[in-house]
Amino acid sequence: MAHAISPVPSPDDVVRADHVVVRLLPDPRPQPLGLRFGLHFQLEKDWHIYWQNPGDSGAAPKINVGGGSLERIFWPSPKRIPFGDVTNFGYEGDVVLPFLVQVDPSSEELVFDLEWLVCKVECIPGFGQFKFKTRKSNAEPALQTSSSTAQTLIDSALSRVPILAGPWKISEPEFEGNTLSFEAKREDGLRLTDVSKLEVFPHDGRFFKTTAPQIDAHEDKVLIRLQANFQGPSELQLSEITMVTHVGDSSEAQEIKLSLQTERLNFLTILVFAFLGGILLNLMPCVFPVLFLKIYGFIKAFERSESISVRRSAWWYSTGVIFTFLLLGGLLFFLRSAGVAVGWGFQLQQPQFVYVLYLLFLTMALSFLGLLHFGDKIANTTGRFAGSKIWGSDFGSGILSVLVASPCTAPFMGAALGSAMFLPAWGTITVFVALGLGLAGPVFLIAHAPSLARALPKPGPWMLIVQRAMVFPMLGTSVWLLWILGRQTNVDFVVMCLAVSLIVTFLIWLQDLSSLHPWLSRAVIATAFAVALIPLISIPERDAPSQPVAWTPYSDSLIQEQVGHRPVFIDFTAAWCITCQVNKRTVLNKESVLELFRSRNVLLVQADWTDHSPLITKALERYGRNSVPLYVYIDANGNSKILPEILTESLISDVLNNTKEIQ
Amino acid sequence: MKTTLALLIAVLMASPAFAEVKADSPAPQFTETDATGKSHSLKDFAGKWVVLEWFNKDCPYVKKHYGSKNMQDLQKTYTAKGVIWLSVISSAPGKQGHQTPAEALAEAKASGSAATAVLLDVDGNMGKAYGAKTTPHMYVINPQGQIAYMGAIDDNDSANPNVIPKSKNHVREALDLAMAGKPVTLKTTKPYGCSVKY
Repeated sequence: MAHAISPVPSPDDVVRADHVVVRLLPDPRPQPLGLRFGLHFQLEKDWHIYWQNPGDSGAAPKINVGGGSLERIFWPSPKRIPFGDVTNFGYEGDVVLPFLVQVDPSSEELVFDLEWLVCKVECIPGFGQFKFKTRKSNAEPALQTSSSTAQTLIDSALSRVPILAGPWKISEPEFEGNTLSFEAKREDGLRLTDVSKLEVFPHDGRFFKTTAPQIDAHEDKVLIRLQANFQGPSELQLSEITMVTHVGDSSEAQEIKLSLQTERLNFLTILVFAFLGGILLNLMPCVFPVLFLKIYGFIKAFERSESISVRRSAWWYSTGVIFTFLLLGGLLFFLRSAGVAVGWGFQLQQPQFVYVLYLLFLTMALSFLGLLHFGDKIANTTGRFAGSKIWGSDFGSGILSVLVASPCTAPFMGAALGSAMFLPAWGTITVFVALGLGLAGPVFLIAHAPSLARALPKPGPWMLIVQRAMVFPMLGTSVWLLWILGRQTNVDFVVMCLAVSLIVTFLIWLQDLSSLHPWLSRAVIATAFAVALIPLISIPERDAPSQPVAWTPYSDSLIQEQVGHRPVFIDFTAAWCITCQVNKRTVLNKESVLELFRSRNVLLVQADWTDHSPLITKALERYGRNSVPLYVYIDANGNSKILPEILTESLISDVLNNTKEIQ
Repeated sequence: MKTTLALLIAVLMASPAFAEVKADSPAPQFTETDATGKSHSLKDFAGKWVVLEWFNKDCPYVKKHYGSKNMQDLQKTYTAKGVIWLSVISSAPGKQGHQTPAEALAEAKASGSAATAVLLDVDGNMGKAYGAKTTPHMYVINPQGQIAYMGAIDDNDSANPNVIPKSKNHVREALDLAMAGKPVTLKTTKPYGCSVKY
């Protein structure tokens, strides 16, 4: 058999196999969160390789990455390759597949194990391996000279990768038997008579047949009919197609998300949901301590009749909240457009961020116990008002509110954030601003309504007691953050964090001794900072996650294959999502609920988003979301229901008994 | 006239050529000659479990499962339990994988195949009636003549035989569940492999 196993790449990074020559092209330009490469396939005449959906037979190229994780392959739009009764989607001649890789912090070398299938009529699988040093000691001349060619090849391939925001706008898709139809209209004034060819490729080979879609032009729009393998409705709420428009010699490709949902939210509803969700965030356990401290500061200031500075402070706080939401929204948008699959709370998927948050809570707690003088600044930032003239502290507490809010998803938020994905950039930004307005709303209102302010309790000795009492929820939060770190890494790392906390706390106590020289005190603080940095640069690999037995880990094929045969319940969750953990403890993992699921032969699937996972992000998108928790129940006939963010036992039994319509 | 028309429609609807092959619906009838010259019909196997396996000796995905003995082990396990296992060659003369009866017999012997018979579907009509798209495309037919499972042999479409121990074998799962009288959870999957060379 003609297996082309070539474990040692030649110096110029080439694998020569049957009917194809494969090269690795490193892209020298930096990418957000990783490195970009291209796989250059040069195929013999009449031979082809396959697209992400290979069609009736064949297989898409596979890339396994050692020392990192494959974030995304950028598939250029394919060609329809018919052969007898069989239709395939693939590439002939010369093709470059760009892909994005996230490099593990500890890795010095990336190892790419490749498998592809090259076919004419008969097919030959090919295997190959490439290695790439991520840390270079010396300049590598080979890479330097080839980098400009690599850039050109990668850019030319990227220009054929479908873009999300393109000139086609489509109508709501409709199902009639096995046929899914929708209308597409151009918004850039290009006349349809100038279009020489229009091609449509479905991304999901199981849902859509390979038969060429029927495309009919009517004046300024086209009617497109696709053949599905099933009669709607399906458990999917979203399926993608690529539309390629040829005008003369040039062509452009656009990815279109076909919403298969029956109901959709309009823009005003999305904004109202976002605003309500923002208000409710204040009551969530993650934000409540920060909010409390803010109001605590107000009470003191009102006492000194400093209502003007209270108002100024509320303005800066609100600005900080909205600014951070805009920053998060912008970052989310930027990362997504760069091909990184992320969603709400994505910063908590990074152990570094969780650790910093842990330190912040610990230091706040220490300072509230009065152990810490240099910590007064931090305490100020978080809300000890004290008539502060520093606007930065209010702005900073706004930022903090949003950062600590990210583990929580309030009711209404999931739907709003999910719908925001389908909006143009300005729409997404507006949704994030609405969330910010909601979160900042209550504080802003109290500062501006004297009658509300009068209803606040008078200051007194109780305040010190409450201040000390707040230490405990803060330490509780630290414990919970350590638990997340444990889930993301391993027990050794958690113990290291605890040891570092001990040393840092000791150093803080040491510098607090009044007998210490000022310069010595400064040196001690510097040492404390240095020690606190150690865990940041030593994040280990994650231990194998333990899965509760009743729950099967999520995979696309599992869901697609099981749906329609038996009921399925999918729990989209993350260790850092408090709402998810509460639902798990109070409802999902209760023996009576598990028994109910068992009695109905429901397949329980858990989609864990604790770590960065393009697979789960993609799955969330299919249900129109990009945040957790998300609970999906799919009955044996394949009809799916999205459950609310906060579950109860009776709700689950109602859904299983189908007595209640949910959303 | 009206009755003739109704009769005609009834006949057309009953004809398997017009029915889409899908899980839980009747498997199309066939009559094909095997490599030893013996004729086999689906009717002959009424009351028995039947597995159809589309075969092409030169297809790398077929080689994956024969080279690793995965396919032969499956054949042995289930023919020992009374299952009828039919390997079907639908490659047209002159196309990849086409074999004369003598070649097919020699190949089956050499590979240690434990299939009940190797059917030679030279004109491809059996493959087309089933909508067989790839080698290996697998079908499980229950004693009542209905399709209990159709699709891929397992859940990993790599051509590398090393992935087999970690793959979930859909045919094994379907047969084990169905023969124990339990509902088959996975009745249809997307087949993978080389195209059938009609």
